[in-house]
Amino acid sequence: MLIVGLGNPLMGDDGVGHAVVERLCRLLPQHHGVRAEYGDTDALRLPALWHGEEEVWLVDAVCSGALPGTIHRLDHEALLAAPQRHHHAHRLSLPESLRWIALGVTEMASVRYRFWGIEVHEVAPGEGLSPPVAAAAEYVASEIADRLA
Amino acid sequence: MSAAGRSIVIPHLGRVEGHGGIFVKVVGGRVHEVNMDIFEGSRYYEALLKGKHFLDVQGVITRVCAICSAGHTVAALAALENALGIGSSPRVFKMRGLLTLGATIESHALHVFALALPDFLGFDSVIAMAEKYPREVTFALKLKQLGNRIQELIGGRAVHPVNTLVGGFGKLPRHRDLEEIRAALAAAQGPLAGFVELAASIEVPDFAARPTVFVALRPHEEGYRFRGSTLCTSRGEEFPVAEYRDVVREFTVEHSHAKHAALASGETYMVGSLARLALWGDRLVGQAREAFQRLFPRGVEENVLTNTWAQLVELVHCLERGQQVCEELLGLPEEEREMQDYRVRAGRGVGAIEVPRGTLIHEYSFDDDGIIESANVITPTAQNLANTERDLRAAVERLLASDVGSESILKLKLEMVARAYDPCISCSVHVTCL
Repeated sequence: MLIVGLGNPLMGDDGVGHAVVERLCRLLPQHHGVRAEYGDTDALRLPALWHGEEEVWLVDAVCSGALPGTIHRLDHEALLAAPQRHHHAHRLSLPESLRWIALGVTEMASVRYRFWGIEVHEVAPGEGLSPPVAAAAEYVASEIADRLA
Repeated sequence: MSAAGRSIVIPHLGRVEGHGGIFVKVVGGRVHEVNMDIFEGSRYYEALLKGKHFLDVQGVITRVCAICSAGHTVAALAALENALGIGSSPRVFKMRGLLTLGATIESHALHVFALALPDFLGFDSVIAMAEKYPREVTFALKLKQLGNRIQELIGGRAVHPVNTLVGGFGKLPRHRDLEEIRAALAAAQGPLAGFVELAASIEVPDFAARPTVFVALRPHEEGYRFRGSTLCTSRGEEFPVAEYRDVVREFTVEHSHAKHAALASGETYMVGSLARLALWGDRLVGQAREAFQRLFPRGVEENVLTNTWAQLVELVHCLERGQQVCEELLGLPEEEREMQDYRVRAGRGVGAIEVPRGTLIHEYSFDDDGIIESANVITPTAQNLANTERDLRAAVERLLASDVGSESILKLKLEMVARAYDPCISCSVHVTCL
């Protein structure tokens, strides 16, 4: 099992993926057979973090218009079927990155993903999470740890 | 058309807090206003650095951007070491060069194959392209991963390097790792040559072409290189990088969150692969020279849409040059680490480097204790913004005059112009939109 927290801890609530990984590193015993890694801001670097795990769980900041701190949970099919919502001149969205990885890294084609997204309040330079996002990060970390217990 | 005019709005180039994109206002058949805005994060990072020790600079500044993290690292270290009055050993200089090549491979592979080529081939995305070009799409990701692997080996991490330090490197690569990288670079040459042929078969439109001033660093040695200490323009001017403030004028505009830049004369200019090829393309050798001649048979033209092909030429160069640098490093004895001693003192230093999108300039000043008093980062994207607007204006005028068709086609073509610059629209964040 590989757990990856995406985002930048120097950009406010964008650091929520890192915050969850940080908490998981404290919650999860070493012998669990689970690795929790910081994924930073490029999902296409996932293959560099992957060591043959069958499942990869991803945690990222989300922007959907819901209340800050809202937790979105997507299973494998829902995540990969998510439409390309970032028509972006410089980088691909998470779903599109995962679809490209499945095509380009044949060993990863059978990887099953699960996604936790936490609705952000403010993405701006600075360290630390806003209160609702910090609370959601605690909740998601506990939820993941419980699932793995 | 109404007397109030017509607006063409493309709101999706940016990604944070909804700002960013292209806005065009046409009144009475004439283009009245063309604005492009992006979220450009480096300004905020300059403020974050004030009051921190110069040893903390790298850990912060690399997070301006994921895909440009190695470039920011090398530029920052050059500036800090200039301020401290220390130079790089041959090994350290070569390793930073290899790091830069890895970053360029990663960035160009992503832009050429995943972001620009689908436009030229008529696909919505790289995923859609995979149906017709499965081998190419697979290879593109492997090429990007090779760039990541190089950065991981030299920088200690695939993103946001930690092994690159003021004065040297914490850990040096083993020879067997360098041999593996050299072999992987060589193995990528054949498939990439196939891409050059594919690109040569595509006609690049010229609806955005117009006279352009190109700017790039003069390579530090004979050859096509990404580091140097003087800025050159395609008009034949040359200036020391340390005097960049006299050459590059940054200014704010009402419609943009990012600063714009122009030469002291007021002219806008372009930095990036096309600018480098225009100034130094005659220095390319080997397969890169062949690719340059194949894709630019009439030499570099003032058409930003050919920037993607310039990046493709540079990809070929990076594969060849990377093997050379590995070879040079393999000629040095295997060591654990290499660090230069230095004394902390007050100073000011400027460092510049050619990164995938163009010339990146860092400047720092710090006090006797090494505490940062000021920081200034001029990114290639900020330098290109004003020029992008000029190109967009030229494109809109031509496309409207030639009755391009539906508004969606017009918007796609304008996006192609913006995308051709490979703008760095702050990948300092990763937010998934649902």
